[in-house]
Amino acid sequence: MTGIARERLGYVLMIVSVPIIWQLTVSLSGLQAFILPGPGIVFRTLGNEWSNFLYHTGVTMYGALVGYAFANLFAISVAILFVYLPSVQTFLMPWFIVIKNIPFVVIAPILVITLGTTNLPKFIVVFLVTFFPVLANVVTGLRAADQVLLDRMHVLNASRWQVFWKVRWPSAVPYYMAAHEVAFTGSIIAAIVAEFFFSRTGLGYLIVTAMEGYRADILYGVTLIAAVLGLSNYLLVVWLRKRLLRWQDA
Amino acid sequence: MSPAIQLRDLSKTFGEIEALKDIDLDIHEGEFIALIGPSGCGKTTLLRHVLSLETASSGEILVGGETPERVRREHKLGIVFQHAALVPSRTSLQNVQMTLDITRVKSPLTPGGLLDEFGLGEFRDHYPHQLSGGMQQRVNIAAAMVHNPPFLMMDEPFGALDEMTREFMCEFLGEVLLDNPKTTILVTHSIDEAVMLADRVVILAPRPGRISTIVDVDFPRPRRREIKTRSAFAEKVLEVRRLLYEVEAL
Repeated sequence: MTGIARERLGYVLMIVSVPIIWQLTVSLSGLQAFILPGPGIVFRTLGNEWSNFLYHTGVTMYGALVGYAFANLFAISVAILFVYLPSVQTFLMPWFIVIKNIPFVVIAPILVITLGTTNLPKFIVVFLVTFFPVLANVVTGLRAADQVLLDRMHVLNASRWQVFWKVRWPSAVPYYMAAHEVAFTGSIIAAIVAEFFFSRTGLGYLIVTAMEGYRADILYGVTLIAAVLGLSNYLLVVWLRKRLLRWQDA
Repeated sequence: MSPAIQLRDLSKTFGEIEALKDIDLDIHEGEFIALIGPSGCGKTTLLRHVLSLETASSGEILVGGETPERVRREHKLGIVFQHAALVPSRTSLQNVQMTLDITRVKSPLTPGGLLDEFGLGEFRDHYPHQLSGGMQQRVNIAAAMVHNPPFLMMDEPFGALDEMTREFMCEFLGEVLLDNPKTTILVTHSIDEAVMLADRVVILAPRPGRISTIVDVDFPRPRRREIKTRSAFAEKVLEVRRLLYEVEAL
């Protein structure tokens, strides 16, 4: 069996095992359905209310993606500034370190009372959670450019632009992809948590209302959806990385 | 005819340290100079001045009658370092092509043709990590020569290669330079390599870095590695080694 086939088999086995272990836990523990619903109940709820679930999933994904897109745009721009103008880094780093180390669950309520129940607080929370890992990795990657290559570029009288596109950026790409693996999934977590606080839509809102109404079936449904989202994000990044860094496997 | 490279009273200090002191050297067009000396004698620093990667503290450098900075802007320099200056995500051919993309020089040489000539025709679509050290270094030399610069600067180009590959590469470089004559400076630790390749071996003394002796090597070209079995070659190596020992004993 090849390595890839083996890896795929691992995923298939896991997907098959989850409902089995789940049902066994329900049967053996004797917990009631309103506390621990079996897979049958949860899948029925998902089926009956699929348009509802789909809508709230879409809202969460939208918040996560918009925040994440801005985080990437800004992180890459700031990273380039840092590398070309180190004085900017000296000035901004203390700010970044402070902001980064304030737990975002503390910032979220403040954003809500300041900005109201718009999408903006959600975007900002996602931004805050994902901006820093992307920034740190892209800066490291841009700086990891081979000094010998930079010397070669200098001797060839390459323009700054050429040095960036031909040497610095290619050096940063593997680091950037590694940041996505962490930050892309993080964007969904951040969006859901942001929704806890104020939202009338989204998976976070579903969780809050389900808890208030003791709807464990909905909670488990949301958990399944979140797991699928997180996993597909991860697999998407892995696939993208394989495509972009094809040369590494050549 | 005025010399191709002139060094006049070249001195360089890094803080308190005198890296180079009163270097005077005329190098003729098409001449091959080997710089040899104990570590810390400023060989590489000297080379970096010619490449305009360092600026002299005092004295003058003229390359083809112009300042190194000027010559660099005119794309007349080629460089080869010990560590191959190749972009890992580009194939051999793309790495060589990159020199032409940056310099936009109309060269009589083509990347493909040069790789064929260097015995790498089959490996043009290979990435650097798929090549052996000797092959990488040949791609590196091709990338340094494809824009046909009149001046070629090499810093320990074969330092990381095993003895057999090293001998092969020496012979190879000698042949390449017969077909494409260039004014060349080679920084090396290997006496064999210096005597095998150079028209003159310049021995540097350390602290402060200065020229100690210059040894003429007038074996006919092409020089095949069989030359190393002759007593005249052995005597020349011995002469250089004695002079080096004298310098080190200072």
